[in-house]
Amino acid sequence: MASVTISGVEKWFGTLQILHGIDIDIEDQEFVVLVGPSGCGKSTLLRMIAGLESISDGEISIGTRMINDVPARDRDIAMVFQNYALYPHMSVFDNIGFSLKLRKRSKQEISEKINEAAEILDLTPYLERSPRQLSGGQRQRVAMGRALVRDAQVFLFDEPLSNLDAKLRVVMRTEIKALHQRLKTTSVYVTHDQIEAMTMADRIVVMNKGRVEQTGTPMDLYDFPANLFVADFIGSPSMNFIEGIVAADNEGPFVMAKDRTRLAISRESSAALGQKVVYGARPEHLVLASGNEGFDATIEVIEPTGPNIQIFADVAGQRICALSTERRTHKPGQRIRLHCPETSVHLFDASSGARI
Amino acid sequence: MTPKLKKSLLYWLLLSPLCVVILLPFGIMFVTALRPRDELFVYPPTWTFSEFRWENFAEMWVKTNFGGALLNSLYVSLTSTIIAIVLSIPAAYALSRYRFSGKGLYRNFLLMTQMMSPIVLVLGLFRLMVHLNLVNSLNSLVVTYVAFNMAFTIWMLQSYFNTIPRELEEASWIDGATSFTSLVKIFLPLAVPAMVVTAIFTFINSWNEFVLALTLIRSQNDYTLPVQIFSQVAGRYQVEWHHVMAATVLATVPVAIVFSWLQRYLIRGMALGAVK
Amino acid sequence: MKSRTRIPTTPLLMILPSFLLAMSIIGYPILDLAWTSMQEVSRFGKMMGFVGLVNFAEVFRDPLFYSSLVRTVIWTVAVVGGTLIISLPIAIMLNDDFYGRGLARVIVMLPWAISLTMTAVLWRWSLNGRAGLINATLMDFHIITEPIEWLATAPLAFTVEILVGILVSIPFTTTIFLGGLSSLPQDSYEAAVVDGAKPWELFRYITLPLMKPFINIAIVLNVIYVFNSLPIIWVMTEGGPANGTDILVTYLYKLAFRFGQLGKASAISLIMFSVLFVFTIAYVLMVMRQEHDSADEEVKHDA
Repeated sequence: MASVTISGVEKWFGTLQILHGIDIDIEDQEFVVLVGPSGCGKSTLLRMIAGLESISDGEISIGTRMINDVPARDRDIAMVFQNYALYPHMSVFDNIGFSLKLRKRSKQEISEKINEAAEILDLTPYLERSPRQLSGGQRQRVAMGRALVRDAQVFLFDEPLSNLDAKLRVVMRTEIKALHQRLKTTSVYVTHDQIEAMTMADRIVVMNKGRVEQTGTPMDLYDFPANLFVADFIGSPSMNFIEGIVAADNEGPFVMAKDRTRLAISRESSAALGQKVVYGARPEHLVLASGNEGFDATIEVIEPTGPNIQIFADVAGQRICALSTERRTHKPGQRIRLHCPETSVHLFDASSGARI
Repeated sequence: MTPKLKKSLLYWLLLSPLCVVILLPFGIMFVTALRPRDELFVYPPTWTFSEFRWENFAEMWVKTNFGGALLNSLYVSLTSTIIAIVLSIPAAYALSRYRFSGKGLYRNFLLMTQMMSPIVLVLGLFRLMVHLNLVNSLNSLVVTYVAFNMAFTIWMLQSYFNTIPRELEEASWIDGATSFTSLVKIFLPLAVPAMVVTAIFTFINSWNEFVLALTLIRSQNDYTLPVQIFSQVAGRYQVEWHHVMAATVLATVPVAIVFSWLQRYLIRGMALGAVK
Repeated sequence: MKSRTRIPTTPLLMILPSFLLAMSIIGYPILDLAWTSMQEVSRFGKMMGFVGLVNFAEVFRDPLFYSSLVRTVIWTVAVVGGTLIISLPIAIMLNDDFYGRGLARVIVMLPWAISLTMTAVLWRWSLNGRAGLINATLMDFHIITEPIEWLATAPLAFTVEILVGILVSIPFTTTIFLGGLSSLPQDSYEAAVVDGAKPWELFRYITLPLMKPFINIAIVLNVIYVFNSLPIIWVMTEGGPANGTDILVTYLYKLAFRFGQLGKASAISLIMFSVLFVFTIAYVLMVMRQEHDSADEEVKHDA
């Protein structure tokens, strides 16, 4: 097992730049998730770690070894592909054992290792089958098994769950996490699904347009998003944003929205008076208020999800979402007051998008 | 009557004229090949004949030097197929797996060569073979067949190669395989069916070629089957039609059977983006 | 902007052998033809000196060239047109599910398996005026009372050759159409049926427009193949009687290998080459446009 150091990495396709100087330090035994919208360069970066794409500039090291010019087969990594990439002409047994066979391990060692991996992954009854005869979930496990027997320094995952149905995805996500807790192999996991990122990662790297937007633990990113992009990307339903200008009155500082709605902010905020800002509030922080607290909203749509109710309402001409656990019967058209505690408010500079 | 049965009857009714026109000459071929010589020209012409003359085939084999022509055809078709496939595999692999400048250009170049028919170039080809001292050599046919078939083989192989996920090779590299091991253990086993199908079509193309064989081969001993059979018909007062038809049966039936068995692969190839 | 992609030599090495072979076997003869067409050439292929465009002038003074040219146009238009009109409904039927479809496909594809030479030999015998069994069959059904000499007069022989030409072009064209039909999106049909479209309207508004690229490609490829097709006419009538069924390819072949007029034959080859070249460019542009469209779609799917 080893750390992975990515420093100043760039990727060019002809004259098109895909990655703009990426720096990430992944510690030994860490589970890092690269997350971002499609086309953000996360898969390209993973493939560069794997040795499937050349590194245009910068360095990638595994442990203390710089691997820029080391071919994939000598990097001592294992990878799980999005479409599993199982060898269709080999049995499950041979699929899992292929890497060991290439490394000329003894027959006995190979079958011991395969059986051990099959045991962990509940694949023992399927070892003689061909990949074609397996369900999606089983194929996924075989792909995992192939990585498992390697004792590789680093595991790479390229959206491994995206071809599974929603239920299976949740199960496999827990299994992968449990597996990591057991093996503690350094892992880099790529996904576009922020929930996967939140639930699995020790640390998340949010990427956008070939750049790292923010790195941190899941709760860090959730509680202190560094900019509008991360704030919007992490969390579901996503954070509500209302544009406005910082103002103050005798009750304290606030953000004045376009229709003069008063959105209270913390007295400690470093925002300057008159600054154009974006006011952000997570749906679960918006609570139904009474009296003078908070601001007016008109209910447009109500969506019960079971554990709570999503209230979509109009505030200052913008649709926002609030979560309520109360089973009160709200109706579309109804006027309510919503309040977000000042300490839960996120403020971003309107032009740079950076957190204030 | 179920709707499907009704539809089937209608379709067969619509298809029947074409089927009759396609099958009729084959029927004529068989009844001619099997009838006694003196029943060839009877008036009025009739389908019926007195006995099945299987000896026609044996006679024909000797008289028309069928065996020699068969060997020539086999040699030319097999050799040109093998060379075409061997040269096409790397090219198709490159087109399917690599991004490189000039790829589009090379594709268009192949398309152009596919469009160029032997007949328009036949005079130039003939003079080229004279220069190379290859006229009257079966190898002149081998080289030209390889060249004229290559666009087809590369294109056919490439469209099948594209269906083999690149990730399989990548997975094998990560598993520790060299490019060569990956090619031999992963890629080629999966590509075998495509190579076999492509090879058979190339074989049939070479087997059936006429214009070049007619032009580049001057001595009777080196004739391939189509030219040999043509020479039994062209410019003769007395055409031994029962022999010609017997030869045609032997030259076409095996190929037709193989082709019929394989034609769905060709349709699949087209569906895979062949026309693209 | 900087570019850091290395020039990959591996793929270039991989395409090199096929490229070199194609260049020498297909490229060189073109140059040789261009050279020869401007030479005076003896019967035995000896170059007698540069004469410029004399050979071309001679071609354009030759009445047989014009009659062959006219017949080539008739031949090409009739065979390609007939083939398309017959192939599309056949492909639609063969794409549909019915009893015996496998057998029907095999029969329709059969002519493709047989070399044109053999097919032409078969038809030449079947159409034999005295003993041909086509006459026998037609007489059995009392369609005709006397045997017909199908290949003895030029207009009738040429018509028959066109029909045989159509017959042998159907399998290839049907295959293109079948490939096209199987790639049509099923949901468009379902949507149209839900919208209340009748079978004819489905064909008119869904099948035909979606099949247009395949039809275009079938036209261009068939034009190229038919324009170049020698064996049918060569085997059945050798361009005769009295040059009455000569098209450019048969005339070219006679000039080159019977009459030894190599200069003139080269000139005709070059003229035909330029015609083909125009069609080839049309085809390449068509294919490129289609690829461009599908590339666009891929991008959309990715997004």
